[in-house]
Amino acid sequence: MAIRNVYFDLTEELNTEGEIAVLASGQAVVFHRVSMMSKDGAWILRETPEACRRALSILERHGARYRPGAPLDVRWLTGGWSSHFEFTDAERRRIRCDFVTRPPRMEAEEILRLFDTTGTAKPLPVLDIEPLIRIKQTQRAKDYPVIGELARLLPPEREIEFTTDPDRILALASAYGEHSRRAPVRAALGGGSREAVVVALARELDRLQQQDRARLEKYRAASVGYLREFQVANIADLPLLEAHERLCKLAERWLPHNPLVQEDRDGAAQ
Amino acid sequence: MELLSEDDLNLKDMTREELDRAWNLWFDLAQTTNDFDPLYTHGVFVLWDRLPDGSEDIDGSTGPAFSSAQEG
Repeated sequence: MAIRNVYFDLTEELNTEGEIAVLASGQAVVFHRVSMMSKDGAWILRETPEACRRALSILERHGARYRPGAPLDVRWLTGGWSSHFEFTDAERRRIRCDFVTRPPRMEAEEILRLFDTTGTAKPLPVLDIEPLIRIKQTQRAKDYPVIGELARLLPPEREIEFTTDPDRILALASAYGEHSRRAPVRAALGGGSREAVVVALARELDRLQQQDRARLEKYRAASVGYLREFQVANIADLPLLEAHERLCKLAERWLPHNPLVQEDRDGAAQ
Repeated sequence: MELLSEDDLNLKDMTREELDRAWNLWFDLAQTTNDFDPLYTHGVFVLWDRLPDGSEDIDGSTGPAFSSAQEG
């Protein structure tokens, strides 16, 4: 049986020649010791052609194939698209690797700082708790209990800004909630009942889920024809570098660089 | 390592080696459910639970979703 977490090892491998990939999502939750129920690996990749080349080279060495998704190319990654890969490891386990350069709910400056490692030697490049919480504010209901546990790792003045636990909001509000703009915190500070806090929290979570779903729906709608062509061309059966070349050509024809902005026929944002 | 449940807050007291071993044990077992996993757990394709296969017209989209300079 393997001794080390394959996704932690891949993170080290991706960063061998300089930091280009920060472990995020479920494996970051594992790293922070909140849960171990994550089967796939997801990374925030440095948004450069060189970082894409290095990641592809490492994935190729592992025998990875493209799964349906955007090419690992900054022309599409800049627009928020994600790239997806899969291989089987020496122990016949399915390893899935997902990459983005523009994770949702992170500002561009904040993403750039991920790769500014001056004077901050980390044992493993892993996303910190606060941005991890924000990228996990997804359309999936199951992410919100995890957010509550992640928030417990923050100091109380920050925990109150993210926790999804009504009891923690009630416990923290009087000491740390004065400047918070969150509706559940305001409900607690206003002397609202526990039920009022629960209702405000439910509304907040529903709003976050709906916002994320609306964003993803734009990517879904923009990828229909592209995903169909991906499968017709059997991209997933091709050796990785050949697949990448073919996929870029498909994407040039079928995938808008950024579905969140309107593009003209030259692919330029309006 | 004291416990292995999802809610095990003793995770925080594990060494890196203990965490890796516990995760590997879980990951080996979790391979049995691969066929039932969602297509995507991260990224912008997560709304797809079944991909368009070329034999159908999803959302009425039959032409290119986008035309770039290469085409024109």
